[in-house]
Amino acid sequence: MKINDLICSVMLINLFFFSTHLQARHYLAEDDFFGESPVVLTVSRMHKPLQDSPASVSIIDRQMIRNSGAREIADIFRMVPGMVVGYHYGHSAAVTYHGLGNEWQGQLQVLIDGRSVFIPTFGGIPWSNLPLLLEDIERVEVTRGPNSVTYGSNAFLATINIITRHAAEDLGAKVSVTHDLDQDSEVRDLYFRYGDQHSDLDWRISGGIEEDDGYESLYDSKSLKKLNLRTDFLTAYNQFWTLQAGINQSTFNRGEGTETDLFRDEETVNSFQNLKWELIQNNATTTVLFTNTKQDVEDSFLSDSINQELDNRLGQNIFTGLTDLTLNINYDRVSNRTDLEIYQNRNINEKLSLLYGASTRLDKVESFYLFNNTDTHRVTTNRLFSSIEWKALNDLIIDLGLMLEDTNYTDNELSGRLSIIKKIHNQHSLRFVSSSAKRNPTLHQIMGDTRFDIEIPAGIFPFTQFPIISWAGNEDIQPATMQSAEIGLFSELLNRQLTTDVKVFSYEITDQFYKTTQHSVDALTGVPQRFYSMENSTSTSVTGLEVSLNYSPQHKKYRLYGGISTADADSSKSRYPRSYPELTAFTGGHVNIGTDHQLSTSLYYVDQLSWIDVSYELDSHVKLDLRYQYMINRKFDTKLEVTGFNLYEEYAEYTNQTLQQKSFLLRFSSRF
Amino acid sequence: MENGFLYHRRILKTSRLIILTGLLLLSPQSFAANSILIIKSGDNNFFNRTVEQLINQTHGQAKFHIKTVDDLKPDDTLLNSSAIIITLGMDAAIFLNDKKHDQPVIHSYIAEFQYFKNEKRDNHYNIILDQPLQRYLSFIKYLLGKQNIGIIKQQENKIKQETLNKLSSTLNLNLDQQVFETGDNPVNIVRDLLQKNDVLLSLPDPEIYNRQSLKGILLTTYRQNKPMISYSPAHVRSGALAAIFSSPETIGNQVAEMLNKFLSDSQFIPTQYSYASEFDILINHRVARSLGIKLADKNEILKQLKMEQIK
Repeated sequence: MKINDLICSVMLINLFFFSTHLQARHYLAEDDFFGESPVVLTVSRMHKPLQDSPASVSIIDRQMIRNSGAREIADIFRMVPGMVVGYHYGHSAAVTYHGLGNEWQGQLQVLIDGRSVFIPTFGGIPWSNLPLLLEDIERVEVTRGPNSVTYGSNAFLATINIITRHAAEDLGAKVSVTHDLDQDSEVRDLYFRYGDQHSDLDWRISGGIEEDDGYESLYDSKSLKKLNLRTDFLTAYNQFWTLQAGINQSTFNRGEGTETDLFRDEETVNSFQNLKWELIQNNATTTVLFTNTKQDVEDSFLSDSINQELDNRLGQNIFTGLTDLTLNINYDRVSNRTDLEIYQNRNINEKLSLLYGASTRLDKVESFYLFNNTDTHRVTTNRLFSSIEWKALNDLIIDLGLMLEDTNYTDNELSGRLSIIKKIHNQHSLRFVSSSAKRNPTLHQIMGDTRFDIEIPAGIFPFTQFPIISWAGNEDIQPATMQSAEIGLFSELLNRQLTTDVKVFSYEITDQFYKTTQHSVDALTGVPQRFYSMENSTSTSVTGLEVSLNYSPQHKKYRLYGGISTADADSSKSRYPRSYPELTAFTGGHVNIGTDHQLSTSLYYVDQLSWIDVSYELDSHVKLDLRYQYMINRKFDTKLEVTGFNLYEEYAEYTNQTLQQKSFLLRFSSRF
Repeated sequence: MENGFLYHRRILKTSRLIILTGLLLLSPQSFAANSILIIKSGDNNFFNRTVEQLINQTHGQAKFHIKTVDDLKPDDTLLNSSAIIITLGMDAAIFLNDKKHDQPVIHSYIAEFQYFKNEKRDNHYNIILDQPLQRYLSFIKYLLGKQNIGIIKQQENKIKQETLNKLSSTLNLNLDQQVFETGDNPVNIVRDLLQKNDVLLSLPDPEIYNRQSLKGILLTTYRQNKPMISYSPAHVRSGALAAIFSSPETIGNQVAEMLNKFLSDSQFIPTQYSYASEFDILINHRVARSLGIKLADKNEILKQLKMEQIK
């Protein structure tokens, strides 16, 4: 689907609803009092109060996002205790919780309005490439710890649930323009939005262009075009529909400039469709959610001479000096994830509530590069899930959740979670949580076959196709398993102006995936091969402490929030504990000066760590960002903002290159 | 002569009879013998509940004719023959306001803003659907213990500053009034208002609170972790934290009370408009839980409000 197609779809949808909903209605006061009024705050739109939450949850709200000055979604996760963010390239962020971080992180579940955005080819989240605009986010809920009982495998280390704004909240138009002030990164961002309503239909269309030149020393410029539509409408006072669609076209500069990694452009199209239906009844809410995401990556090129590379691989000087051999490298891949989920929240009585449901998912992947064939590879995942919340006493809640999951590559898997929450004086909630979770291998880890057959001149070897194998999947690989326990204390103090959450945690991952180097000899050619594969050979145990706080005084003149996380990891493989920084901390907040000025600051500390896919030992670093905002016109929310990034020091956060340098952004935004 | 005398006596007798009959018709006792016309704006559950309660509370003193606006023709004989007319809802009130009638008319289900917009008639008496402002404010105080309350009014019906000051002083709270102008987006006003206040009190005004704007308003209050207290139980089902309101049954009681007085007292002249003397409250406990709000006991609040009313 191209952007033009989406625009046509938007126009058709709106034309349809204009014609069906544009009916003038005579206003009757008595209807307003006693008639049927749409249920706006449905169960799914309201978050569970944190003091009743069966797991530790961090909320990133709009104010925090604004205060951070972030223009990349990944950056906002620095404001979650224990989360670590790093950029391999300007357009390639990695996010992890505690450790085990790598660019293709497969241990976090990330959802946007209930839609999984995990890429089923070789895992990971395309953070810079998500069809999502920061301005459209209402809040982000991060469940720190395993959450397989709710979201299935891959909700392993943590779950990120991004919730966008209801279309009724964004009526009218808004524009925002962002530009760098230092000319090095050439940031040029544009955001626009228009929302309107017609009777029971609300809609919003938002789009943007995001461009920058990436880091100074890397070939990593990016250019993105995004267009999203959200429509919320009613077909009865208790039946709600949300239709969303979006597309994101990107051009990323890639390559290190070597013979097999030329400087080139990678073209990607990410698109999605969401359709959600909610039926609200007296004691139950039924939800049906259909989602579809597609990623289509085009990245193919003809390498430069690989003669030297072949000699290096063979350890002999055979190809050097001969006719240049080249390789057609084709990283093209298409992946598609379709989900259908139905669930019901039911209040049995005042003490007992139940959630139960089922879902089915189909992942489809096509990639000659990953599988050495042009087949469409399919993975079907079926789930049954249920959780029960029992208020055993006025001050005691017991929450039990179970998830049964089955895929065509793994056996039936059961995950569970038991939480006991004891309330103390209506101010504190003491929670004991024990849970288990699974992480399924990706399709590439199971059946990947990445190899390159190089045409070589006749006469050198008894064959003319020289094989190089770089990856072989492992069909025997089993899901990794986690057992986790935590004790937490959530408190609301100073008349609910101050909230704190303290937790001590311990978890152990067994049957953990570990990338191994394999050696073999090609059966047809006798050429020795060295390639990577994956096996269940590791276990890692982690203990730690996390503290978070949020102080929002009623007078609203300022706000403070922060968090700290310690982790002590031990593993049978030494590089895994090194991926866990012993200490991470952040603090942020803002102060209003008069009615028109606002200053905000964000300070982050990350201890020494090593990302597992690059293995550089990075020093600890401090990131300091400051932002100033001038409100030009309150009625139109017209603002001018200047944000300075990395003002304390310049540092390396992924590889050993000091990429994080001082930079300044200027942003102008206004409604009209 | 005699014939002429008899003729005159007959005329006199007949005239007396006509006059007596006329007087009888106008006497209070005659109400009991005459019919009451109830005009509903539509046929719905809450009007029917009110009518049922009204009939029960008049204990058979009157004969009722119940019609909807759509059933009545402008020249329907019931409009002239009925001793008292009762309307339920705005459409019925508008229907009757277009015509001149001498008999008393009781309008019910009329919001205050509608009353002030309607043409006033000496024989029309209105029972206001919403509550007096002080009752809303007391309700919030007893329910939440919150002091900073935001309200939105249009320029044409905004509350005078001296009234605001008086109420604030009497109830020991801060009442913050924002003015809505045509073309404003109520969501933006609510967002600004809740930056400074603890709770949004919605007061009936279709320009501000309507089916379309309600979604954005409720979501905005929820995003800011602040509750909305409403005049409407329907809004509570939508996501407002609570409402104080007169139920269809209590409206029936109040109309019946006024009707009974008409029937029993020829001198009875009610005020042109009166608020409901009875009321109920409704709370959305799911919203309270999600917002982390601990609420006072419903019965205790009702008791305190009723005591305050007696004072």
